[in-house]
Amino acid sequence: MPAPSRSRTIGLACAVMAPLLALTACGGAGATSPGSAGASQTASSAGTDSRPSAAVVTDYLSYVGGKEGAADAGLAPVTVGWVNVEGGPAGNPEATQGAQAAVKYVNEKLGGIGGHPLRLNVCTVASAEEEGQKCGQQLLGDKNVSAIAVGNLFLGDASFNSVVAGTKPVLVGVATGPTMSTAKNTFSTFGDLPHIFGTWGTYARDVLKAKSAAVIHTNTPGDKIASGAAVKGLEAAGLTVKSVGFEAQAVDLIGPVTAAGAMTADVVVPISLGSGCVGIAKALKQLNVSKPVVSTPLCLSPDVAQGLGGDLPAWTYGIAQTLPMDASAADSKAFLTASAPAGLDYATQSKVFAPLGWSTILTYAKVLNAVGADKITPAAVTEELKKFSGPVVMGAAEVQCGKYQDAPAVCNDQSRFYQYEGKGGFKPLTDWIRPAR
Amino acid sequence: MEQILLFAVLGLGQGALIAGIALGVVVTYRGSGIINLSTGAVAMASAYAFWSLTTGFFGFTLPVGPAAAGALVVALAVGVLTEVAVFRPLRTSSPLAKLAGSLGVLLTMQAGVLLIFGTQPQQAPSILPADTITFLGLTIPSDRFVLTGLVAAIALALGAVYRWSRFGLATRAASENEQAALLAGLSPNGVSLANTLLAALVAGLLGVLAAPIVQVDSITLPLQVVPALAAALFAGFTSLGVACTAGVLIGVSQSILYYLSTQSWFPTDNGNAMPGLQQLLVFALMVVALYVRGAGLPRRGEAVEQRLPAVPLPDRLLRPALVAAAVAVVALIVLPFDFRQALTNSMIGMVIVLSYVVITGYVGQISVMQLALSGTAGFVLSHLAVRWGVPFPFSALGAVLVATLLGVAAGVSALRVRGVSLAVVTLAAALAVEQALFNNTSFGGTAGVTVPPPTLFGIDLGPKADFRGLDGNEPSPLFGFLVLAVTVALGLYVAHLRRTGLGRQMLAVRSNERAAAAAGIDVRAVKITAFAISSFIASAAGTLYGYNFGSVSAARFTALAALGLIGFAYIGGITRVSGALAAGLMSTGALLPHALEKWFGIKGTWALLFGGVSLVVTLIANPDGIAGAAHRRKTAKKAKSPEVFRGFTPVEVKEVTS
Repeated sequence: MPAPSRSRTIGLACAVMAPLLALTACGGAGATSPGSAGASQTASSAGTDSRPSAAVVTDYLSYVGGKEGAADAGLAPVTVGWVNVEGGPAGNPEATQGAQAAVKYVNEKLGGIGGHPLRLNVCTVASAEEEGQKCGQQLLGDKNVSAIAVGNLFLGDASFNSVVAGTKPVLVGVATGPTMSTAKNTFSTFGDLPHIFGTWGTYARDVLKAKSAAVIHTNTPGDKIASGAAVKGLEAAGLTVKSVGFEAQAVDLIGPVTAAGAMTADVVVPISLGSGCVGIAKALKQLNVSKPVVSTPLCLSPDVAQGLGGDLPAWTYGIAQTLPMDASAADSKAFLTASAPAGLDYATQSKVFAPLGWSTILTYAKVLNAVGADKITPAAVTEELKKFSGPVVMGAAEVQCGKYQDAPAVCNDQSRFYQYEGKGGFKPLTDWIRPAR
Repeated sequence: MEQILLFAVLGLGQGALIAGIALGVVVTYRGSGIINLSTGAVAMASAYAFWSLTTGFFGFTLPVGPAAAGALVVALAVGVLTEVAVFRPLRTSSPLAKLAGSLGVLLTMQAGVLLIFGTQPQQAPSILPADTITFLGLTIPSDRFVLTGLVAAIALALGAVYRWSRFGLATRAASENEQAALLAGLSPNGVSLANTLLAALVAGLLGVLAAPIVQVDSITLPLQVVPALAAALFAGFTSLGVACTAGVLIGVSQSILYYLSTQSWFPTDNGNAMPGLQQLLVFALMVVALYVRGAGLPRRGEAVEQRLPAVPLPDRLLRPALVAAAVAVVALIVLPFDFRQALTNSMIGMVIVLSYVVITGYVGQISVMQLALSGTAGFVLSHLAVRWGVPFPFSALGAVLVATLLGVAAGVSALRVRGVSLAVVTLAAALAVEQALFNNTSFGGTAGVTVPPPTLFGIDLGPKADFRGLDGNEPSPLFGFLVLAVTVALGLYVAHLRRTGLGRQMLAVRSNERAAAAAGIDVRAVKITAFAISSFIASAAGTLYGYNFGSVSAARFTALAALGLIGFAYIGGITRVSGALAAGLMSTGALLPHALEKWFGIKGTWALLFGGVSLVVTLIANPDGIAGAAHRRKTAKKAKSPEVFRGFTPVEVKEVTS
């Protein structure tokens, strides 16, 4: 009998992330209800994109090295395995939608893979660890699959990786499942939360000039790993840190916020989601704490806005991705323009995992084209992925896979920081910045 | 000191919530003699109703007042439905069956809210004042005092009702001696209904008021029943005042313990606060409560003698086992990989349920810890194999030994505890093990731990072994054969156990411990042996689980999953090996759910709903479970056969009912 899991991982946290467009609409006058789409794109960003054009992927054709036009439907398809958590109590079907839109785009506009149509062998995990094993077996057993892509596999990743075990390469946007970062022949182009947390130290030291930090995190496996990384990153930047956890179901967080020393720290770092973010925001308000708060994007969800009376907390958010609604960003514009005719509506485009799925498939298109349609084998794809150094679609300009020995799958440790200005407005504060040294 | 005072006051909110649910538990027990595990779930249903009515979930929005009233109506409706559809039909059932019935209600309600509202936790608006007050220089939310005061007022009001009203008198009469109350013209059904509604109202009110304390989801409020049970144990399931006070103090203690755990001098788990301290506190308090109050719950002098499921003497063992094994061997080779895996999962599920057959079916003790023992064995296996390089099968045997010792230790410490009390205390223990042990990085950890494949004389016996099925894919049938061998061996042993003197002693203990002792049976030795056997079996399942997935993670061994497994054990037939087989086929990732998903697209939460409803229906209509019904049909068929008609019975068929 599948009982709902009590623990909430980072992945599950990601699972509840909702249309950012919709949530930004919560705060506007005459705002639409949470979950609905329709807010203006122009309400998004107040900043400008200072990144060099070479660091930003906007020309998908040259990026993947394809030929303009449609793939030859008469040729044998190149099959990529696709695994995602969806169809159950929690999940991110938009990741699969983003991937499928990318496949359509590659086949219709980018000439497929060397002329061969690209197709996905999709396997989904609904609610049980056992289903990850089933997906691994399914994709391992499909001889046509030489490469596997992953959406948001926060559940079933341990058994999936145990089965695949490096036999076929796995490409994933964000490594959310606890075992993804250490899995063999796995490549995470956006990294994982523990490794991008190093940039919190850089930001706190160089931008905020902070000397002390209060980290308040949910006591879930993923958030505990993330908080440990945040503490490490902040301490590496020379800050003194106190980290305090709280139970996932708690919303009365005056105690944890007090225990973490938020009232005296120079910067507050919440690592939670949903009601945890609401509880921290309310506690900070009740305790009259006005210090800068630098959060993860996990607090960017409609339930947080709803819990706070209609709008998101006006905090700073560190994100390992260019926000889709950042209208100043050239890569966001390219994504929105290209993915719309491929089947993604704006509400879906605005969800974090849709551009990640899109990005992952386009990265594979680039890699598979480089290998050559007739030479695709798991080993060849793995070798090509090892050479991949970016830029990443909607991601960092440069990545380095295998940089971390304790997390060989992590290719990225950079993030960008955005300031939420209320009523749906995000202002980019930084370009991609690296962890403190 | 100020900080401790602050956290003590902050803990009043959580304490009030626990106290409120404890009041609901006590009221239900006084009215019907049922320990209602679904009391927290009623609060959950009410909280969801309140949230949905105030946020426009159903397309319209109500003001806070009418929405709160609507939520209370929902709570009452749940109470009526529970009483009429579950508790009343189970009135003549054993306390264990009643407890399992409330478990069925809990699972059904969880599945219901997941299907209706989804899994995303929600934040209901607070109807309590959100302002803070300054007390001794500390900023404290005023709602903590309001909430505690409200719960205290409810306790006082309920106490007054029970003390001075005719209804209260009737309830007390029924709770002390149901037979006498019946003779005095009181309706136990009416008393039970009124008390269930009262409990639902209290729990529903707490669900509405709990917004400033906890989020609305399918787990948090239902699990508040565990500390509430600790408070109810202190109250002997009778005293409202003690239940209320104990509940508040538990919340305050948890809050202070939390504060202490954030201090630099307090031991940490790799820099983080030690996990599971609050669950450990609740477990410890339950042990103290049982020591202080005595292990038994107040008897009611029930009007109808309660019956436990039959435990038939198995007629044949080897032949059906060999036939089933032969079918499984063929299936493991010819089935496609997904069904091959589902069959392997089914067998592992069957092994875990076999442990329930021994401890619950044969000895009448519900131990929610069985799955926790499986998890313990899995984690120990990883440590032995990976950290210390102990080869198979010694690593597996060592893991089973360690977990079995833990199970025996739990059994020894619970010797004074029996029946539903044991179920309650082992539920708390399972939660404590899950939170404090499995989530501790020194033992389990956040990302789980790896388990290398079993290798014997250089031959890989794991799922990745070279020998594949007809489709050439993983998992290897070889691993299936290994699991099959363990399953058949343990199944035969458990079936054979029923035939032995020890098995008969277990049934005697199940039936009546005092009578068994009077008959010269060493009740303690029998119970410890039963704990050892069932722990061994559960631990074996844990090692198989580890090999199956190549890893062990805490998420697979939660207390909620254990409750679900007990539900399936009841549905299958908790007193029979064939019942374990049926339950195994229904367990997570097993053949039945896999087939339902593959062929009909039914998965996830629907299976939870199916399990909850099936459990209730089974307990009411067919307490012997699927296997019991099959056995009855078989026995009836034999009774009609000519040999039996002539007075010649070819096979001895005995049933023990008690």
